[in-house]
Amino acid sequence: MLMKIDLESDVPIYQQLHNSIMEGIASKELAPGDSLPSVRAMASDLGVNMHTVNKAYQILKQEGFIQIHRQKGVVIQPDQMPPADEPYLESLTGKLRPLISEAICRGLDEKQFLKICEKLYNDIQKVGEQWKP
Amino acid sequence: METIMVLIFFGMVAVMMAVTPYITRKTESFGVTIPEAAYLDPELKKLRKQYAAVIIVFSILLAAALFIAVSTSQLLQTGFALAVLVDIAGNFLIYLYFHRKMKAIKKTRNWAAGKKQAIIVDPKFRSQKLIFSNAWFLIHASVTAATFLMTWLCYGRIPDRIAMHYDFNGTPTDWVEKSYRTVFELPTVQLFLLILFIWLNTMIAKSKQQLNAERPEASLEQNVRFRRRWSAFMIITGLLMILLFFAIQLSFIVPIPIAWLSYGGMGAVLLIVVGAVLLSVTTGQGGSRIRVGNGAVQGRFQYDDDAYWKLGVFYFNRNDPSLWVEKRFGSGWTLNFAHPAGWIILGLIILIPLLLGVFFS
Repeated sequence: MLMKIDLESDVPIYQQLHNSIMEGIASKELAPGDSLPSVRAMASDLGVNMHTVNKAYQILKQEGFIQIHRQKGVVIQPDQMPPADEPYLESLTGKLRPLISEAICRGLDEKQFLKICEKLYNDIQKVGEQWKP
Repeated sequence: METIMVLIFFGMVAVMMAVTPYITRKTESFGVTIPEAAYLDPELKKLRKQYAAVIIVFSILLAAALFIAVSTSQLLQTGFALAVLVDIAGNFLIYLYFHRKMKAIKKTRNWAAGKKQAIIVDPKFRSQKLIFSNAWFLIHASVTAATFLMTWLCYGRIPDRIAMHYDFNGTPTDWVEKSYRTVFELPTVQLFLLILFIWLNTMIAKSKQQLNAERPEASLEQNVRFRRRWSAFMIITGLLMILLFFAIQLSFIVPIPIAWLSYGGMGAVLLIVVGAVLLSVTTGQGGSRIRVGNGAVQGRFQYDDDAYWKLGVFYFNRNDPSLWVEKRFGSGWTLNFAHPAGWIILGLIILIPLLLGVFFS
């Protein structure tokens, strides 16, 4: 699996890293129990501060997508992935609302919007598809 | 004979320097980040040819000057040391001239336009086999242990005066009195080499993952092979050197013809240097000359980190926790000079041989 980080982007690096790992898990390129590089190794490969990587890892850990062990290092959640429970649905709705509002303002109709969602949903599940520039 | 060896040495250095712009990654030119396609730009091609020509001419002039100086004044040692310094300084100044020229060219072009920069990493990179196991060094350790043991057990058979240096006719030129301290000098150097090579092999695995953002998949494959080849080279080089010291130590105990030792020694050194040149040329920096499938092509531009490369060759990036990164102009790795551990290591590499020298003199 290849992860892409854009250093010039407005999206903070920790956020990009978080999203990349999440997408890796979604596309099954990162399987439960797979190990991730240590904070130091990941920061070294990316050439960024260790705090940045640590921040991304800590968020993923809090969300329950990875585990950080003293000995085994960083691994993708080997047991139960966090479920789509009530609090998650609430947060999802919260995040989608402004996105849909903007789409409506720009005149994107419901069908087109849903089509984009559907395409992304399928693309992510197809391994390697996120590599289309 | 000595003059021929010296000329071969300067010839090898000249060839190594002259081919350098051809073995770097194709995303770099004279210490400046470029898009891969620009590597084939006629102006850049011309720059590489000019550089190689200047280096060759400079080296021939230097070798001729050394040759004349030695044949008139007979000061081979001093002349050689001076020539090495002039060679290093001269080569660097020539590089610097071309580095400046390359920077100027980059300014006039609009390579980055419309292309996004990216850093590409494979999170599973380090779960692959990147180096040959350090267990190979058990062979080296056995030879080192054998040297220590042999020296200890056969102490009585070592003559009272040990010849430390020979001239090329096989006549000893430098003697030391036998003592437990002097006889254990070579085994201690072996031990130092053993630790050094294990550490270098480990660093090959730990050094920064650097993928070409334009062709990440091919670059990944090349990078893994690049590391494995240099790891094998480290193991073989280490063994050759440790075996050489074993042979020299053995010659204190049982008579071995000096010619065997000196030819064996020169052969080993030549083998290591020629091996390094061949490996650099066939592998290329980061494995860039290894043929692999092309893989998916990305519309991304190599991340431009020129700002962190002082004079194009000294990496200084406080934000990067990497200690070892690939050299930009040459084959192999260089230190991140913003990393405190980098300076400590550099100090140790200079200090330990100095301390060994002081202790055993």
